[in-house]
Amino acid sequence: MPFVYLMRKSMESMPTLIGVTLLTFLLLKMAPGDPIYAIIGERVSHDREAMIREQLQADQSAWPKQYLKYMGNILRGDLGTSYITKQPVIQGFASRFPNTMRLAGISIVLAIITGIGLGIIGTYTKNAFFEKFLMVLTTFGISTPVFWFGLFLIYIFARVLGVLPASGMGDGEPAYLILPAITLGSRSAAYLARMTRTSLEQVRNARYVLAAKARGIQPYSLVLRHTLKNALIPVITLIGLDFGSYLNGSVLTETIFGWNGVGSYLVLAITQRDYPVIMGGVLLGTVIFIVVNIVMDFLYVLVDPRIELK
Amino acid sequence: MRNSSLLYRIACMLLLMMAVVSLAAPLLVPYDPVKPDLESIKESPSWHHPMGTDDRGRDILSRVMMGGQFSISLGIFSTACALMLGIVMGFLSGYFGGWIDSLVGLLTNITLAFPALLLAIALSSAMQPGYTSIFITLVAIGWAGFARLMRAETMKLKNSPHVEAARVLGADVWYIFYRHILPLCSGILITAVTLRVGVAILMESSLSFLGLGVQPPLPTWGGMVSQGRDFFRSAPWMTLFPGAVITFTILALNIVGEGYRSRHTQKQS
Repeated sequence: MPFVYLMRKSMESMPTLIGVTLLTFLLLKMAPGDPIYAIIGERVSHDREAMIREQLQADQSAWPKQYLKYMGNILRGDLGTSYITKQPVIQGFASRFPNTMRLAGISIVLAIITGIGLGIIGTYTKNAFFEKFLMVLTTFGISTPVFWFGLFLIYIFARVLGVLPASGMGDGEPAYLILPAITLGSRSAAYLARMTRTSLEQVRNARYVLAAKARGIQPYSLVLRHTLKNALIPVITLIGLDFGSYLNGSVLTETIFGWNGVGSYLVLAITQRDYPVIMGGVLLGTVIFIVVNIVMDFLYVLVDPRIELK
Repeated sequence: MRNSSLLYRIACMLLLMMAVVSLAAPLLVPYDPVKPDLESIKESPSWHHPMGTDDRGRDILSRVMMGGQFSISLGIFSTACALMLGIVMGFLSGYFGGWIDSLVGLLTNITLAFPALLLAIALSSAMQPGYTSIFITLVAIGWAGFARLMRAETMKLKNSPHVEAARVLGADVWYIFYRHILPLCSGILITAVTLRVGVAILMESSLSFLGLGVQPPLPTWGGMVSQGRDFFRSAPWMTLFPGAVITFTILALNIVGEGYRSRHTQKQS
């Protein structure tokens, strides 16, 4: 059954995939300026310009034909080569994706632990001050611009205290991961804390929880197995959405910390009008989102056996 | 409730103050926010310059006040436009269903399927950077959320007795829309708008931070944070103050939005 579901979901996502690529394609077509000048500069002879155009097969036909050809190439696993670096687009992304993956993974784990943890404590604490404190903390987490929070952390931990590196990736030491991961994860943590709390409040007094309590189940197991597990669905949705967007490269965090990931690659491509890279990035991003969505559907079933994959 | 409504009131007052100060900024600024002053480069905060001065000797406070004009007006106007677009699209899609629903559904899915910031960067880099490009970008990204909300509400309301009665009496679609459906959605929409203005301001400052917004020498909050990065070691106030202003503006908007939501849901139940 899961296999059929998988196939059907993939088929269903085709219109979105085609829509997204077509839209990006048209947008790039309409954009002012000609990428050819970004490649060769503006002081160039007509012959050379014509030659490069010839090489890029730039002016051979109308856009529907170009688009179909591009999609055909994709089906053969060819995303084209970068205008600027002449490197195959697929390689450009493949070499940076592990970096983005590492940052995204650590950040989301951090966010899950602190977010759900604070959410649980916030629900079960009887301390009014702590409750208020948590409210203010999460509102701050949601309101603070990522780029400013990152710079703030750099100021405190790299400049004033001097305990952590300010930016870069070093040789992959964990120390370089700490500040970017906190910066990236803080927002999700705040949202998760709120979502966990709202969701827990809804089920904490459900009859099955009270029944479990009456049967003398340990508080620890009562909260985690009987309450949290039933409150987890909206929380998983949120985690999936955030993780999906982290995997697409967190543009601001990567820019601030000089992290060589997918996000900074894409921003560079956008400013340089490196169309094949932009198209490739958009395509990759959409695929990631679709995959994350499908994985989430399977997680729902794991958490709540009443849900069926149809 | 009393205690949280104090916070709510403070936030409302802060927002009102921000709006007034930014609107009247050209009259209020103590120094010229654009003209360099070579006598006072990178001065730390003092009585004369409460937020210090930047690398060209310009008063940060004056620049923050001027920058508010762009950030706040962009936040408000783009959200208003996105709201109108979203309401109409959402209503049409929820009320008529069929191919309109499929089309609007596909468009919202495409818009929401993407990390908003990446989409914003792509859109605004396809245009000449400035006020208009940011405005169009924010509307193009913001409408989808409203459309989805409105669609759900319309689906819920379109078969309720009062709408059926209006239909039987021969009311046309637009009358039903603004008389019988829109008023019932106003609470949820106002909450969404307040929160959305915050998101829009955050987005604008992020785009300006990346250099895609209103161009220098005109000040924007995000642009100032970005500009201060180069002098982070010698003059941290160039970054810290504008960033703090962004944070507190959005914080206030979020508190007001949440406060409105909890009041609204209490009234309903």
